[in-house]
Parts: sequence; C-alpha cells; structure tokens
Amino acid sequence: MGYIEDIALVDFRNYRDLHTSFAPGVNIVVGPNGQGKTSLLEAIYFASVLRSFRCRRLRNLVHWGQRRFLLRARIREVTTTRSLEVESGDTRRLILNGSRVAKASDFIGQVFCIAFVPEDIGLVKGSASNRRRYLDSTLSRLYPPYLLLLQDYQKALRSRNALLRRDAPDRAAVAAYDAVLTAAGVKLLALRRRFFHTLTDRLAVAGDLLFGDNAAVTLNVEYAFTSETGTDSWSSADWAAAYLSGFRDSADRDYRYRMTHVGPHRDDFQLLLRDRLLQLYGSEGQCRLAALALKMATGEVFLEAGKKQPVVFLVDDVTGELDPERRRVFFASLTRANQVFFAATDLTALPAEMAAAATHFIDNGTVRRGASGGESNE
Amino acid sequence: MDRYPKTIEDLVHSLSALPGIGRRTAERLAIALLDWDPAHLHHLGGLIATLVDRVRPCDACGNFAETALCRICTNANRDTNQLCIVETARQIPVIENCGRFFGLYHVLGGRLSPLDSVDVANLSITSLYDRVAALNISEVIISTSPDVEGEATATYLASELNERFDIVVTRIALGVPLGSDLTFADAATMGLAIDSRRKVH
Repeated sequence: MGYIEDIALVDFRNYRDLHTSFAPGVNIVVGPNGQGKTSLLEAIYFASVLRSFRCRRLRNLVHWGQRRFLLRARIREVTTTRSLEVESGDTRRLILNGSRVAKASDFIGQVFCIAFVPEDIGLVKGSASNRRRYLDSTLSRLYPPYLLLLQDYQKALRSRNALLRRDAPDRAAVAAYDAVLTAAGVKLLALRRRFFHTLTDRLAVAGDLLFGDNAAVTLNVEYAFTSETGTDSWSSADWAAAYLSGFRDSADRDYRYRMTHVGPHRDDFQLLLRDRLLQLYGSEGQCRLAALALKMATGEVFLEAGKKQPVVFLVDDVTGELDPERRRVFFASLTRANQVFFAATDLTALPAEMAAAATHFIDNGTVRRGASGGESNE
Repeated sequence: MDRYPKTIEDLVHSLSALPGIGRRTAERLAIALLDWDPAHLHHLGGLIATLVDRVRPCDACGNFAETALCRICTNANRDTNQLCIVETARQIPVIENCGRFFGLYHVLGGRLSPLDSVDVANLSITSLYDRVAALNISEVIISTSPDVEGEATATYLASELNERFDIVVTRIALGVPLGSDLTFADAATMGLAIDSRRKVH
C-alpha cells in the first residue's frame, strides 16, 4: 500500500525551506522541544485535510513575517505516485497531480491522516463544536459526497437564519428552506448513522485494550430527532418526516430567537465509561485514554473502509500517561497503518514494538534523516 | 505607464470589464478592431450604442424582446397550456435548443437568495400568478438550478402554485448526462440519479 514519500515546505511554521523523504512503516521524528516536530506532523496532516490539528487560523501556519507558505507532498503507491501542492496565503492554490483543483472537496482525502494529539481531550471534555468538527472532517474523507452535502446544508441553514432575522419573516420562504434543509440533513444523518454504527464496535474494542477487559467504553449519540419507539428501523422517509415535524415543533422558538434550533448542526455525542458520562465523571487520565480510544477506533474505521488511499497515523505526545502494557497495545495497534509518524524527545524511551524504518532528527527547522532508528533491524 | 495612446487604453479598459475578458485579450480585441473596415466599426458601434434602447424585457414573460412582447410570446404556434419557469432570460435558449419544449416561459429575474437580500418581492412572482390565472395553463415546469437556492425557490413556487391553482406542477429531472460513461459520473450527480430512479416496464 501507499505511503508519503517526501514533503517540501517553504515558510511553514519554523521551516523556511525543507525537503525531506520518509520511509513506509514507522518514522520516528526525534528532537528537543520547540524544534519543529509537531509542525512537521502538522504539515503532513494539512496535506491530507487542508486544516491544522492545532489551530483554526491558517495565518498561524505561515512563518513569522511571511505572507504565504508552500507545501508539496508526494504519495507513492505500488505503481504510481501522486503529487499534492498547496500554496496558502491571501489566496489558496491547490494542485493535484500537476493540475489546478478549484474545490477543497476534490483535493482532500488523497491520504487518510489520523492525528493522535494532546488536543484530542477536547473531544471528550470540550464543547460540542469540537466533536462536530471531528465528525465533519472524518466523514468528509470517508464518504466523498459528505462535504458537498455539508456545504449545501450550511448554506441553506445560513439562508434560513437570514430569513428569520428579517423584520417580518416570510413564512412561506422559510418553509421552502425547511424542505431544502431536510433533503440535505437527512442524507447527512444517514452517513453519520452509518459511521457511528461501525465506530461503536471499534470503540468497544479499543476501550477494552486501553482500559482493560469489559471496560465498556460506549457512545451516546444525540441526533436532532428521536423517537420513543426507537429509530433503528426508520427509513429515510421517516427521518424526513421527523425532521419536518421538528421544524413545526420548534417554529415558535425559531421565530422568537430568529435562528434554527433543530437539525444535524446540533448533533452531538458523548463518551461513556461503564455507563457514566466521562465529560462529567471522568478523571483527566480517563478522558485522555478515552480520547485515544476514540482516535484508535476512527483509525480502524479508516483501515477497514478498504479505500485505495494510504492510512497514515500521526502521533504526538499522547503516550506519556500510558503504563508499559498500555503503551505496548497502543503501539501494536498503530503498526496496522501504512505509515506512522511518531514524535519523541529522545530515542531511548521507545518500546521495542516501534521498529523504526527511519528516524528523522529535527533541529531548529531542519531535518536530518538517520539510517534506521533505535534497535530496529529491518 | 500606458503602453498605448489614450483612446486605445480607454477601449482596452472598457473591453476588459466584459466577462471572461482579461487585460491581454482586451488588448488583442482592441488592436483587431483597429484593422476593421470603418463601415463595420460604425455598424458595431451603433449596435452597442442602441443596445439598451432596443432590447428590453418582454412585458409578459421577461425574455429578451425588441417589442412589447418577445418572439416566443407572439408565436401563435406555441403551446399556451405549458409554462416553464427559469431564473434568467439567458436560460431560455438553452431549453429552446433541446427542441422538446414548445410552451411559454416565465423569467423570475433571480432566485430566493436570502444571503444576498433577494426575497420573494424582488422576483417576478406576482406576475407569474397573474399569467397562470389569465392564460389557460395546465402545467408549470420549474426549471430553476439544482443548487441550494434554486431548490428552495422551486419548493417555494411549487407549494404556492399548488395552493392557488388546480394545475400540474413539475420539476426538471436530475441525473447523469446522456451519452456519458457512468464510470466517470461524480458522486453527487450519481446520488441524485439513484434518488430519482424510475421503474422500467
């Protein structure tokens, strides 16, 4: 399967001009604090998703004092290579295999990157917007139509809210947007339900690995609509009917507060450990482990999706709290990916499972590639 | 720093305001016009000068017209039972080219775009109801674009027309283009084609 063969960066964070190559399998990125380990992982992630896992403002990715950054990456597959190129500044240019691409939806997902980063704890303890961002970015890559549906949905939502904010809202026009929101919303819901269905099983497995057998890490998904008789057997027509009646039920609130109260933009999910909400009852350590389990489960879903794109794990500073046995199972699960980037401050702390194919020494925005890392024997 | 005499610069500047014309193309066009026969140039200049005086929206449907009514509205052979709703007059030739529709048109002059402050009152919707009531319309075909605002406009019109009139309201179908290889269909279009599949007898 494929892997990221090399990357070139100009004015990305502290990298002024970098070109470096990677190996398939485990790549250890090693160096003291503040030298650019996370930024290198961030660049790889950006090539996959056109977002950062650290910040929402792309401005912050540009080297201090510069106006734009360049990022080039090459993906090697069995018989072919694919090239990705991003220029991001006042405007953005996306080039895929030498041709300009206008839409982000046609560019992202050439490689499936999953980042394991300290910020993941926000998925468990943070606000719902963290989880919706995770959901939308994951599903955009798993299911090709998702991003377009989401963009349609968000435009319809902004339109409906704009109508509600008029002095005398036109109720018939609002109702027309109800129908458009429903059409896109029901399709989004169907994809989300499909995702959560597989994720739940994988999360139980990952939870048992990290918390011990029968840990019962479960998901509680809150969709915008529910039914007392359960929604398992609902058809998309049933969901559409529930959606429209949800609009009717919240009409008074919508007109009073001049915004749309029901729909997938309000979906949320919580993680539970033995039926207890981690967000409320979990210790810091438990929440970190649960976030890790969620990311491991997401990685499994990507691996099992059986897509032709390589699956790449980026691991930064999340194993500090794991005891030796948990580190062992976590590392074992990582090696299922086509390629792993693992950031570490020194090589001695690495367990035997991380048989490195290559080691990259980071020093103040430069990368020197070692032959093969640690005690590994290729 | 002008590279040409002022008259040519002014012409280049005006031409580059046209859609799809950049600075370089505008220069090419201006230089080409210099070589034209003066009679042709006067003819072209006259056409441009009188364009807004000669061409106006059709009083009935909103199509481009040079008299009170457009050539479709004055054509006695058109089927006055069918009315096709489009967003702009530019879309009429596209539908005319398919050679399948022989009814009348109605130009909305846009679509419901709350984000750009285009509401029902900004569109030719009252005149649409007047025409459906006055003409002997049996079917209205809604041909707005299949995007968010076009769909919302279609939904709005369908619901209002069905409430006001005892007529058939239809929406143009969506799906994969004819004669194309399914292998290359994009996911969104394929999804619509699956959604609007039909039974084969």
